[in-house]
Amino acid sequence: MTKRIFLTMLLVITLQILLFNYFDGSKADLTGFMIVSGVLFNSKLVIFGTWYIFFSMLSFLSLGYLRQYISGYGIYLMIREKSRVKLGISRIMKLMILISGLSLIQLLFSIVFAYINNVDQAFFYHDFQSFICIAGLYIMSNFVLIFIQMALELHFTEEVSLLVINIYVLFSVTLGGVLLSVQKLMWILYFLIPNFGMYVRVDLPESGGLSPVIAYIVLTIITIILSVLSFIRLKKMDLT
Amino acid sequence: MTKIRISSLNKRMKKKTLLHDINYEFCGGKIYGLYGRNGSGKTMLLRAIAGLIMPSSGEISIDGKILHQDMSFPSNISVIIENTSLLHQYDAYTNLKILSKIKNITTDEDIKLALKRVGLDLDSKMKVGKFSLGMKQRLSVAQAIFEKPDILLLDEPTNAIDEEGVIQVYQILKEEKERGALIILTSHHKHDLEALADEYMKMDNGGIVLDSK
Repeated sequence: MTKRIFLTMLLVITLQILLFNYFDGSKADLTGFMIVSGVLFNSKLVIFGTWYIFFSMLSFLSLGYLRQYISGYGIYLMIREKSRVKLGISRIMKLMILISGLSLIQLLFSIVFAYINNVDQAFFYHDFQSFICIAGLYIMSNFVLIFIQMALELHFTEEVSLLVINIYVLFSVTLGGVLLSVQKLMWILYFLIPNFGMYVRVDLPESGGLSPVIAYIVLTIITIILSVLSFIRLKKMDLT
Repeated sequence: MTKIRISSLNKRMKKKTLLHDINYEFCGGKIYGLYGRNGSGKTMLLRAIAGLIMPSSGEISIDGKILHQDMSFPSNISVIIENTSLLHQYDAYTNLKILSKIKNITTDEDIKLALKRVGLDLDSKMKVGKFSLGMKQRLSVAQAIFEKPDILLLDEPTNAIDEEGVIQVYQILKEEKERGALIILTSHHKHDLEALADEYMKMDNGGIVLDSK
């Protein structure tokens, strides 16, 4: 990632927080968790859009992250590395660090903003353990979503993969909102990964919600399945 | 000396036969030329030998080791294949330096010597993105030779290079052959290969239809 892209990401994160605060005045009192709270199911569309800014940036930033190492310049690297899988693992690890790092920076910005705005009411001052738990879910769900995008790139073009994952994210958030409002078929939420990173949305006492433990297990299982399928594909695919 | 043996190699992709019943043996210290029209299978054969594509049937063995069974890629190989490119944001030296860190078998002097051999300015800080096509191709040749590989697979290595450059590249290939490298290069025209190749073969519809042996 170049310095220019990193600075753009910082700018986007700042803009997102300011927009969240501007569009959702009611949440301004609880600013500490507006990022991990995500989009409440009865939110205005503009809140949904504000939440989506960061994920769409992550998705664009990751465009071709694995693909470029199995074609073009990657060919030079791979024949020197002598291993398709080794290069794949190294890319996935770097991706994990990148996504986690940026999500963490976003959370830290959120905390600083909460401190400046409303230090007493930010919930993590009272329940830091819960904050770590839901922040971890948020970071991990971001990583899994981008990992799905990378895995898709092993089968389709970068553009198709980008489109598919973004449609899935928008669909998941919308359908999640519908399910939470009608209180039916709640188990489907476990297949709608973006909701895992929206603790307040899915864990409201009246909504029944997701169990953080099960959510962590689901994300871990998906990560393992994606790793195995990606490495099998990497080992057998034609590099053109 | 390195030896590559190809036995009954076939490659089909999307119901299309790309390589058809290839049988051939290549030995180190020789230059082999593949020629044929566009889509005849030259590049695909180089990709198969480089370990980049999986054969549908048949096998490729290198010094007795079977590709994709005993190893993922041939050891000590370099390639120039279409659709590959170096990093546009760096200069020529930095590009080779980055690649050299993977195997860690070359010195800075080796990199400088390779750049000098292909006629690129050692002191230039010009980024590869600003290179002409010919300069990029020269750098690709430098990338292929700087680690003194045992096997060199070159897909139209003189593409876009001027006449003086072509003579330079041919001289380099002769020197690499003297060193003992096994070189396979492709061209659309037989006459490009006649002056250079010890053996040459014509490819058509994915098969070797004529060879000079």
